[in-house]
Order: sequence, then structure tokens, then C-alpha cells
Amino acid sequence: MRLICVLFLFISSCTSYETSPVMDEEMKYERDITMHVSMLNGNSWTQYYLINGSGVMPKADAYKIKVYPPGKADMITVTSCHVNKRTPNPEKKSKWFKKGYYEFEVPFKNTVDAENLCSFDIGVFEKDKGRHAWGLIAISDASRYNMPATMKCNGTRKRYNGTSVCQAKEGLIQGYEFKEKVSVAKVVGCEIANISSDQKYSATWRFVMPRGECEVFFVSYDDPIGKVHQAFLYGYGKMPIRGLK
Amino acid sequence: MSMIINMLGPLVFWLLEKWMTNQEKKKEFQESYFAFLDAVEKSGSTKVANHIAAKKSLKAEQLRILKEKEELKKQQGGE
Repeated sequence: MRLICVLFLFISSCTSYETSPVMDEEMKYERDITMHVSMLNGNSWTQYYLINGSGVMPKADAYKIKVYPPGKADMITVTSCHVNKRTPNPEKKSKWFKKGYYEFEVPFKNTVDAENLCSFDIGVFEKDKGRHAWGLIAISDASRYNMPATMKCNGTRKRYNGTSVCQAKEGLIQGYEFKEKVSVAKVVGCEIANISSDQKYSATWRFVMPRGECEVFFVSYDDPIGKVHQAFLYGYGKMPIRGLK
Repeated sequence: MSMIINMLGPLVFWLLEKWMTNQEKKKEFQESYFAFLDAVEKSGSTKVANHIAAKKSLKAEQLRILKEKEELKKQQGGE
């Protein structure tokens, strides 16, 4: 009887190790984390705003970000042009873990990030199972980029004031529309060619989504210094498929 | 009793073998995943390089448009 018990324990500890789908270091995966973001303005925090995968938040003194990982997470990272932080084993620190989500604060006012205005990448990792998910948040500052645009991105139509985020599959056609003629600043690896017009300046832009994250500026012909639109384009190669065994 | 041990011997051996394979698979997987995480960490520097390039390209485009408009004005003035 004792022998059978020992064997049973041994068998139960021998469940086979299942790996997740093979990860490709070069592959750009869709940003698909659900995030709730609150802003600090002066002394008060605003309500939480929902961001599904990627989105824009107005400039504020600081942000509280609630991340809802698709599974359990044992590491959360925040990367910007200035900051690279990771949570120290969030599941072991009760203050990080609240039912179903992790919450952390990102200071912004008077930071190098506020000077630079580049995007924040949020990463959620489950190291043991190799699962991961990402989110992208851009911060808009109307005092610097203030040319409105209507974005037609991945089947949605949305109006942005001066900064926008468009996430779609790389290689698909996306669009931006302005009230005036604009040109686009050329960046190596992120070239945007207007396929709807041969003109250098156009109010309507249709382009093939580049690969990975591209920060692109649309510049007004009438007022090139005063009217600029900052667009964060994210062309993903794959949607992460989860739940495979 | 000896019959039970004879029957269970191969089973124990099979389970041990399976356990060892799993451990190897796990180690292999974790190594590849840590390489993946390293690549993710490097994306921070790529982000900065892209951001700086974008800012430079914005300035260049603004200057180009201003120059183009100036040239146009000169041409129109000359005519």
C-alpha cells in the first residue's frame, strides 16, 4: 500500500512539461493588454480610462496604470526612452497584486520622458510558461503637437488632436486625413509613401503599415513649424495566440 | 510482492525517463525564453534610436518646406 502511495505521488509530479508556441525574437507581436489608466492633475487623480492594447493619454503629472494580464504574470516591465523598470516578482508582493490586475505608478511631470514625448511600452511576462503580452501608451502634449487628424486604422475611425496611435498588421493599408495639405517626415525604416496621391503634399494619406514601431511626423505645408501631428504607428507581424497546450 | 515489484519496475523506469526528458525540455525552453527577454530589453535602445531619428527628420522636413516656400517666393518675385 505504501509503495502504491509513493508511486501515485511520483506519477502526479510527472505531468509533462508543455511549452508555449515558439517565440521569435524578431517577431513583432500585437499589443493587446487591457489597461486602465488614471491621470494625476495637481492633487487629484482622474477616473480610469480604458486602453485596449494601445492608446493615447493627455499630458499629466503622473499616471496610475492597471494592467490586466491574460494569464498570471511574474514580471511586468515599463520601457520608454528614459525608463526601464521591472516589477520585483509581483506575485510575491501583495501591494502589487490586486484581484486580477497589477497596478503601478509612472511619474511624468518634469521628467526626461515629458521632454522627449516618446511612447511607453508595457510588457507582461510569465517566465515559467513563456507567456507574454504588451501594451503601448503614447502621451499627447498639445503645446507641441497640435494638428488634428482623423485616423482610419485597422477598421476603426478616430479623431486625434495632435498625437495618435495606429496599431495594425504590417503590410495593410491604413489612412490619415487632415484639414490641410501635409507632408510626412522621412525616417529610415519607417518610410510612408502616399498611395492615394502622387503629390508631395496631401490632406489624405493612405499608406502601407510599416513593420514594428515607427514614430512619424505629419507636417503642415502652410505652417510647418506651428502645425505638426505626431503619429505612433505599430505594425505587428503576429497576434499572440494563447491558451495552447 | 516480488511480482508487483517486477511489474512496477518498467513503469518506474518509464516515469523517470519521462521526468528527465521534461526537465531537459524545460531547461531548453527557459534558455530560449531568456534569450527572447534579452531581445525585448534591447528594444529600449532601438526605441531611443528611432525616436531621435524621427525628431531629426521632423526638423529636416520643416526646414525643407520653409526653403521650398522661400524659393517659390523668389521665383515668383523674379517673374
